[in-house]
Order: sequence, then C-alpha cells, then structure tokens
Amino acid sequence: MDTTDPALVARVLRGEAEAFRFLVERHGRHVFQLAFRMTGNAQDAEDVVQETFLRAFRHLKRYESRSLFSTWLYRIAANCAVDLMRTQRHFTEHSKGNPGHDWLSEVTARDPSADQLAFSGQVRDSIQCAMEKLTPQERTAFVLRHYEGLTVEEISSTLGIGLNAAKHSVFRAVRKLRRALEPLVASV
Amino acid sequence: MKNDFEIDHAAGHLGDDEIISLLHAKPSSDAEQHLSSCPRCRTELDTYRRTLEALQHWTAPECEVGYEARLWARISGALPRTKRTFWTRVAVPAFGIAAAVVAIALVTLAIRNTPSEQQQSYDPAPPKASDASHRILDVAVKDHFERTSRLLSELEKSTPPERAHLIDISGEQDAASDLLAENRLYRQTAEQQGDRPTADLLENVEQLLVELDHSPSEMPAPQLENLQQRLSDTDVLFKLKVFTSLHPDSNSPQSPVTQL
Repeated sequence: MDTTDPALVARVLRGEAEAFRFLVERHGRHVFQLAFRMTGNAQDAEDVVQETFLRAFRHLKRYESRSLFSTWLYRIAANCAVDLMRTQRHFTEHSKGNPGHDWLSEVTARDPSADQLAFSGQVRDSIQCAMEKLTPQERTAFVLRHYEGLTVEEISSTLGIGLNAAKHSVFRAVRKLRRALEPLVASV
Repeated sequence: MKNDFEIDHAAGHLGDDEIISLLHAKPSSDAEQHLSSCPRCRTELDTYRRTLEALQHWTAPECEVGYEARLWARISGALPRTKRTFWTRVAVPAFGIAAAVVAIALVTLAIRNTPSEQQQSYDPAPPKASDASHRILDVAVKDHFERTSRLLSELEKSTPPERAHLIDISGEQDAASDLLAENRLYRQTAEQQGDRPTADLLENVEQLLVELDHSPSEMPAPQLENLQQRLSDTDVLFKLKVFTSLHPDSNSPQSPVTQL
C-alpha cells in the first residue's frame, strides 16, 4: 500500500479519516519541536500541534501535492504559533496593562555570574527569556530561518508577509538576541 | 537600494544588517577586504556567530515514548466527521450527553439548594452547593468555549479558493451542530443560576452557531464574508478567549464575563 504523504492525503480526502493517523504519527514529533521553539513551552507547543493537525485536516482539500506535505504542515504550525502568541500577548497586555515592558533591561539585568545556576541551565534560561520577548512574527521568522533553514522567500510565503518584512523580522530578531545574550556570549 | 554588503562609509564600519547578512552568505570582495582590515567589524561578526551558536544549543525537549499514539488519541477525538450518516445525525454526540448530564446536575443542585423564604431569614450565608454548581458550570462552559473558539477562529480565517463562489463548510457545520446542543443547555443553566453575563455570552455564541447550522453546506462567498465580518465586529472570539484565559486564575465569585 502506498503510504507516501500525497497518497495518504488522497485517502483522507476519499473519506478514510484513519489514514490521517499515519500523517500525524509521521510528522507530529517534528511539528512539536518546531512549535516548542516558537512558543517556548511544552504546553503551548502541544496546543499548537493539536491545532495544526486539526486545521490541516479541515483544509486538506487546499493542499496541493506539488509542494511537500511537511512544508505545508509547518506553514500551518507557524501560523498557529503566531496566532497563539499574539492572543496571549494581547490578553496579557489588556489584563495586566503592561504594554511597555522593558524586556531588554530585564534580560541583561539577570546576573550572568549567578553561581546557583548550572551553566547549561543558565544558557537555556537566558535564551528562553530572550526568545520570549521577540514579537511573534520575529520569533517565528527567526525559528524558520535558523532552525528550519527556510530562505527569506519561503518565510515570506509561509507567514504571508512581504519579502522585506520577512527579512527585517529575521534581522531584528538576530539583533535583539545578540544584545540580550551578549553577557552570556561574552562569558563563554 | 542599498546593497547588503555595502560598507557604511560614514561610520567606517559595516552596519548591523550587513553583518547579519554575512552570517549566511559569502562576503563580497568589498566586505571581505573591509573585514580583513577592521578588527571591530570582525569582532562584531564573531559575536553574532557565537550568539547563533549559543542558540543552537536551545533544543526542544524530547517527546516521550508513545507520543505519537497519545497525540493521535487527542486529535482523532476532535476531528470533524467527514460525512454525516443517518446514525450520526440521530445520535446525540458524546459531548452533548456530557453537557446534558452536567446541566441536569447543575439544575438539580440549584433547585435543591434554593432556600425557602424561611430558611433565607435564618441562614444568610450563600449555600455551598450552589457555589459548587457554579464552579462546575464554569469549568464545563470553559471547555465548551475553547472548542467553540477553535471553530469560529477557523471560520474567521477561511479564505475561499480563488474564483470559488461556494465554500464547503460542511466540516464546520457538523461541529457547529454539536456545539449548538451543548450551548443551549449551558445557556439555560446559566440563566437558571442567575449568571447573566455568561448567559449573554452564550446567547451571542448561539446566534452564530444557529446561523452556521442552518446555512447550506456550501456557503456563497459573500455570505461567508458577511459572517466573518460579524465575527470580527462583535468581538465574540476575543470575549471567549478572555473568559477561558481568566477562568483558571479567577477566584472572584463574580463571573469573568463581567470583567470585560
């Protein structure tokens, strides 16, 4: 039996919903890794994974087999992650009234020489903190560029933004991360 | 347009964007020449490279054994039915049964704990079981709102394929039909409990679900746009998100909806 992605998609579209299981099992782990890097925590990543597959199932008719199913799926995941982060940010700002949070000073004010933390934990903590403060678009663009290896053109298409916007999102993210992680990088 | 590798002659150094571009591209001969003679720009480029190297160590946690099976179990339960058969039409969905049980339990609790006038004069403290029923309703409604939000978000973001005049919304319609039955029960229970804000929000949701349920399974593009516009205008999705976000942290006896 043909179990390639396009063949499985065709089976699902013929009404064989169980074939979707193979797609979930084949791609679920990678979508989780991607979602975790975008959202920064496992719980949100789980939500993104679930929502990604549900959206994929609902819109499977729109998948065109000339592109890779995984690429199409990651595109949905990226957009789910952006939606989730924007919603959380929107809610946080509205409920806490704290839109002007100075993230950079918070990151750099962390004592990089704190002895209590193991170095690896400190690296993870600092990176996590710096990543959390990027805008959803910057963070997603950065993850797609640096962890997934997408080109600026592919990021632009994935996020539905212009080429310049995609490029500058990546640049801004790199600049912010460099500044936020400078004390850490200098100490290595 | 400024070239990525153009040297900022005014400052005598490469700009941030130029340096970031070099992280993934071979430097132009101009940039290479500049880097070979400028320690500051070399240091800058090195710092950016080390930053990205540090970021490479940031990995997602490994998924546990059996992750895929658990993921499928969660997803398969939430997948919309692809086709409605006679049996799926007549069978009350599982969520509907759960909702009915919760609603009946809540109404029973509310009736049992409604004090008589005489009791009221002796016991000014609010009945504990009533608080419990309120909490049960909140939890059930929160779950219901989360599923409703997912459906309405999907609908809000739907874009008709190019030149398509009719959009297949049968999947969304099935989900709306299931949610509608629950929604009615929760609204009646909220009204019974005097939780007006929650009942009002449920009523807003119900109007949308009814419309969706009664629409043709292939909706004309203008009708979908109209529905999307109303979704956006009424802020229903945002209210649902606020309700579900506020709920876990809300210790106030007041309904979260009143805080909107």
